[in-house]
Amino acid sequence: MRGLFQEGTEPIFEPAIFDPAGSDSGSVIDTYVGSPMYRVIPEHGAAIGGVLALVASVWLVRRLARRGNPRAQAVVTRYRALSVVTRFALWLVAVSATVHLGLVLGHELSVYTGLYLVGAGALFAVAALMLSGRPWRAWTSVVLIGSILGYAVSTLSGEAPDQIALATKLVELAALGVVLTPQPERRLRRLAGSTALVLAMTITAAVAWIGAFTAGDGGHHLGETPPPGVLLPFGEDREPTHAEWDAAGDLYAHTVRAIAPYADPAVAAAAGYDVAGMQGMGFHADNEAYKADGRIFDPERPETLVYAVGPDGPVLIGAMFQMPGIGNPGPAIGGPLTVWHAHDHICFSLTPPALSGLLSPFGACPVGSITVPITNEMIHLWTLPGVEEPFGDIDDEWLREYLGGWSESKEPREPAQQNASS
Amino acid sequence: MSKDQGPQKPPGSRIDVIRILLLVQGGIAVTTTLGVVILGAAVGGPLLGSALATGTSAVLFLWLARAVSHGSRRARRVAMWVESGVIFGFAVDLLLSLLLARRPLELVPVITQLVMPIAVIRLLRSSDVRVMFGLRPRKSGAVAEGSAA
Repeated sequence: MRGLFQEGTEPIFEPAIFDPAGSDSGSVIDTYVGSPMYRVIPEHGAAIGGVLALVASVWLVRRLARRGNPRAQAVVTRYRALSVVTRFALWLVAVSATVHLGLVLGHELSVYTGLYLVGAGALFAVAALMLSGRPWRAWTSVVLIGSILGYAVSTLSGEAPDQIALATKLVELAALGVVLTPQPERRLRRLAGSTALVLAMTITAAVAWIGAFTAGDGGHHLGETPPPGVLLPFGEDREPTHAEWDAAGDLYAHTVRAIAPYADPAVAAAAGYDVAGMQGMGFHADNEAYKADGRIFDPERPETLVYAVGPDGPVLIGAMFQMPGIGNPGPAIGGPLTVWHAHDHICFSLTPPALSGLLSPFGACPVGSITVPITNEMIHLWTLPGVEEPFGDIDDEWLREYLGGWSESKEPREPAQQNASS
Repeated sequence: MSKDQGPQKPPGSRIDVIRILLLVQGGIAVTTTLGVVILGAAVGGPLLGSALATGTSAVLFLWLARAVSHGSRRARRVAMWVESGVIFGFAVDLLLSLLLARRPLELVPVITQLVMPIAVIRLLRSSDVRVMFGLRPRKSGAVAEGSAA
């Protein structure tokens, strides 16, 4: 393998093209491992069945009532006697209860399933309380807040929420909104209730972000759960072979030499890189010509350069190679050392064109942004001396320290660790 | 009662459901605004416009929740336009998802960007709510509060 990237030779890769038939669902995203936050994890699939069972049960009760069944008629009569807003809350609570019941069925017996069962029982109990026409707000608020707190504890312990968990919390928050609406109206209590609901939603979203990023902390190797917004290929991490070390080392050394002149952004601009408006710790300067040249993983022509704007101006910190087209896997010439990744659920602002974040736990991007569901594959190569992992992810804290040290000495710091290239 | 406002609503009516849905949408916009602000502070970038626009939408939703529950006809009209805009955004995102990822959007965006706006619009257009805003019901006949939620 040595010599694959020796100078004077051209790397030649045949891009593999995404074949929808190779994916169970036909979707590109399902050929990657992503954060659970944007997916329904298999154990939670039964929860959807629970909601469908609820709808079927309601249909059955109404049908029985029409046929003269006295018990069903009593239930329908009690339901119709409720105010519209109470019916709304009843539906929300019943949905949450059936989801919790579905979660019990979807998991193996554990403490969590016990808690889900308790939650389902409590939610069904307050649903029955609503239907009975007796006072229900106090108990419902206790049960809903307990359920939301339970979610917060499990999420903060490192279990990333999935779409079912987030949808259920949204339903419970809406039910909490009903509970917090005072009847009869009191202006100050209503204001306090609205404020409490918005605060509860903010906390729920923050907890979701923290849980998802904690679960995906450092997740950029094969077999790991990535953080939200990152997609990794399927596969298990393993030790690289000697040939893979050599190939990765050659590529690294070649790239470091090739992009060294671009430490001066003016030189990069002359080569076609878009360095205008450079700011932040990871400014990506694209070269549209190189992106369209059909060359893959060419150290002489990386599609993107990455700069960090430190105290003394921009510092070239690396390059990023990109694959043409979505779903086309990049050549992992260094095996587990060179794991390509894609991004998913990115919010992209149109005014002005810029990355504006990730799709929020409640499924929203900032106003004026579109949701980019998936990008093409890419891989970063960090050229700073001492960087812990030359391919993949860079530690922001390390980068800040590096730039601080670079600023003080005006010279790059001594490498702290050996690069893969060494 | 001002010219812009309809008659008093009965307690626990559909307007309360609309108010809660708008409040939840306002809460979503607040969390999204905080996300943009935090991202902007962390990595930099031209995000001021996004933060301002999203923050404005949060204020708008929260104002709509209050104004609609007070029977403001102007708020009713604005709410329908805003919700239509949300649905349009959903359609764009859905199209992108189908084209690029070859799959529909996830459950939560479907709820927050499609189901909730449709629910708000349908409720605002329902006969009994129109009556609460002092408008004529869409169809002559029953506008009873007891119709299905």
